[in-house]
Amino acid sequence: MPVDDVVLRVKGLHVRYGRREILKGINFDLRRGEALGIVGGNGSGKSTTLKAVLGLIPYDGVVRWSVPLENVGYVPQRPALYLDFTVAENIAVFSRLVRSPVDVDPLLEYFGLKPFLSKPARLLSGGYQKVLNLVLSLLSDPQVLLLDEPTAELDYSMREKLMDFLHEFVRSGRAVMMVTHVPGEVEEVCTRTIVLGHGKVIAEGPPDRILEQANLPYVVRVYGNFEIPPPLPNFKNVELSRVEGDFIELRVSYSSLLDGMEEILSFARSVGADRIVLEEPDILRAVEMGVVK
Amino acid sequence: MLKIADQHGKFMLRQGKALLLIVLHPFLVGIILYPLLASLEHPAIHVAAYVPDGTLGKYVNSIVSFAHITYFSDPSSVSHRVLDGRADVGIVARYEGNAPYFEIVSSPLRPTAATLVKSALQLSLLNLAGQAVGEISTSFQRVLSGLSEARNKLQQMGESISSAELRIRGIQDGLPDVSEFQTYVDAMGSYESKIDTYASKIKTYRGRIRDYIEDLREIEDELELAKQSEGSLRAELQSKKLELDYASQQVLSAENDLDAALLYIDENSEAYDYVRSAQQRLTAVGSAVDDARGAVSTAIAYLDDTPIDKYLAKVRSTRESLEEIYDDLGRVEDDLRATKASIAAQRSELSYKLEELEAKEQDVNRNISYLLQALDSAKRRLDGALLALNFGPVSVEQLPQLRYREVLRIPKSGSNYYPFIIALDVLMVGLLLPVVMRSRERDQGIETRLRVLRVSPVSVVVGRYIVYVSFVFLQALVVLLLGAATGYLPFSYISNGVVALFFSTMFVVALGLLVASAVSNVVVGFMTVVLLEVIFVLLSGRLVPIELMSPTMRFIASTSPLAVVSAFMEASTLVGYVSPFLLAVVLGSAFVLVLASAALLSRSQLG
Repeated sequence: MPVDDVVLRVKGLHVRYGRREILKGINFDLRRGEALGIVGGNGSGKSTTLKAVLGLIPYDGVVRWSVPLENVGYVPQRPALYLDFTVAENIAVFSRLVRSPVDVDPLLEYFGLKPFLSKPARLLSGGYQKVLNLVLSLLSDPQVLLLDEPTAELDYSMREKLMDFLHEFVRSGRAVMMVTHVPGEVEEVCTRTIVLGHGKVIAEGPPDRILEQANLPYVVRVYGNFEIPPPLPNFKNVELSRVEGDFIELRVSYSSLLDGMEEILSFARSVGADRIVLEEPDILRAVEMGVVK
Repeated sequence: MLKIADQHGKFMLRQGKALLLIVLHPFLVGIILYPLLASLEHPAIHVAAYVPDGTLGKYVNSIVSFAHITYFSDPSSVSHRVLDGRADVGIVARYEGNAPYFEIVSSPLRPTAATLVKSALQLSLLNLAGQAVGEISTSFQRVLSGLSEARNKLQQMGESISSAELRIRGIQDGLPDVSEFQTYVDAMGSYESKIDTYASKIKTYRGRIRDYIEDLREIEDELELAKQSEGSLRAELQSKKLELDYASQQVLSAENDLDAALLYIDENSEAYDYVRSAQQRLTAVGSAVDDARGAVSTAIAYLDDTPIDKYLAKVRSTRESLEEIYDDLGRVEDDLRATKASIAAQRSELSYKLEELEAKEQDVNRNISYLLQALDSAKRRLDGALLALNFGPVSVEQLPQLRYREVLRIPKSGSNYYPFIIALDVLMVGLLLPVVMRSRERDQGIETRLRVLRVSPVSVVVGRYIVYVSFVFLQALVVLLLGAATGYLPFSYISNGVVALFFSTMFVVALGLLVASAVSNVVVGFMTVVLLEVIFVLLSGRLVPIELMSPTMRFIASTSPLAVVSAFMEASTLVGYVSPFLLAVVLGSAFVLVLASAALLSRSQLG
């Protein structure tokens, strides 16, 4: 990737709250056409990283933007809007402030906000407040969009719309950096991921590669009536995790999924199981389990 | 129940800054209140004084034991100091007639100071009066003993005065009459003018004589010429006469010849006729020659008869006598000039002497008048003294007086409190509004969004400032207008009140913005405002008089926003005085506070 494509370069970023050091010298780049996910456990410094690069909190280190900061959009975790203003008033106020070049109608249409234009923002549902928050951040036609847990409180369809929008945004040669806690979101949107732990970058790269390195198992639950636990076969690629009255939880490693699934399916049929539920491994879980190093 | 108490206690203890404020509150109040109370033992009243005459200083100096006095050169500065709140009380000292007169300039904001100063001054006046009474009583005995002696002396003096008066009047009568001198001076002036007239006449005569002399000289010259031509003419006439005599003789001889010829010539002959005609012609020539001879003789006789020498002599003698007269007149002219100069010198000398005399006369008259007045007054005093001696003392010198003036004129007693209530209202709303609104904006993430949109903190602060100032001003304006409408505030000063209110609002809202920028949430903000207001009220002088505080506490109290705004509102609404000093203070502070708020906001952490 050419150096010119780097829109943000962060080197040795330190942030302290009093005596507590939240970020301990993290380094990363953000490039055009890239969606960078920042994941990590609670208190790992994800949101702090966003605030620091935006200059909302004091920091030490180098944060160098190659685009004007006016062209950087920020979608905070909590909606940042006038709750007592209507949707239209909020849009009008901030459009006037940034002299917005954006035609906001398609965005309102896309996110389903049009029917609520005359409604006070306070009366919108949490999901609509979130998307209005996003729309307000897009008024300055940003080249880079920083999102702090953007899908929290969104229903499935709205989340899908947002994901599609972010795909398109990145595909148009712009960049996205997002912090998320929602399983699968990083893998779905991000082309690259940074995993933070205790204020440091503990892993960086495409989500697939991180998952591969983590080698987390797929979790499979076989549901049925197991008041009397059935005899278990001698699995070669499957590991028993736990047995409850209504399900048996099994684990299959990331590298032997197909063989393991065959063994599980034949076992399910033999015990007359009602259904099987497969839970994919994701980075968030890998981080929680501490298997990302 | 104990579990709930335990849980709530833990919750309360973990409320961070809010709890810190609650815990620190009594300490902070104590820090202010205890020194305030302690300072009651060290009163130090600030007095602004106008003492134009040094002799009045002894009265004013009686308060130095408990007051700091600052002197001013005009009474209005004293009033302004009191209205600004920079002095607790003012003293304007002056003389009214012979009596010292003290005006106490006080404000309802500093009642204790006014009372103390009034009491101290009254006490000093009483002390002075007491001392005077003591001195009078000791000297009274001596006076009494001297009175009888004085009476005799006074009577003698009275007689002396009468005789002096008579003598003075005699002197006045004996003064020379200056008007005589004036007559002389005037006469001399008329002589001078007469001499001028004569001199001018003489000058004219001399001119005319000079002309005559010139004419005579010309005549003389002409006569000389005539005399010279007379000789040549006479000689010529003589020669002509001789020639004519000879010619006559020739003619006669020719006639004789012709007669002889005729005698010889026949009468009928042609020659006869010729000779006869020649004879006739010769006769004619002879008659002509005779005529010429007669004329020449007449001319010679005329010449003989003409007395040119006589004329010449006469003209010459006339001319010489005229020249003598001319010279005489010149000398007369010189004499007149000299006479005039001497008269003028004498006259100027006389004039000078006359002026001197007049001045002396006036001086003498004035002195006499003074003397007469003095004598008259001495007589009256003598009469009075004699009367007093007969009937006892009749007049006492006027004692120093103390008068009071309230700087803030009060139509109703509530008026004292109305500006304070307006100031309190402005302070409460002006501090609370920015704190609450900023906290709400911060909570709603608006500040974060503005920061991300790169809106400058100065724009944010000034934008808020304009809105808050407008709102706080309008709501306080209603209170002010109600005050005027209900008669608590004089309506004539309402425009001054509005001006002061507007600038006070600017100041208080700027302070509110600073507090709002410093606090992190609405609870801490609210508590900070309440704490500040408690402190400001304590320092306002309404609970503990400012004038009784120690110097340090006074400084803190007088710079407290409520005291400043309260003084500003009181001076403007009750007296109509918009203090330039307070105006500069509130405007300057507002400017600094707004900038400080912007600086604080730009450094605040947002999320």
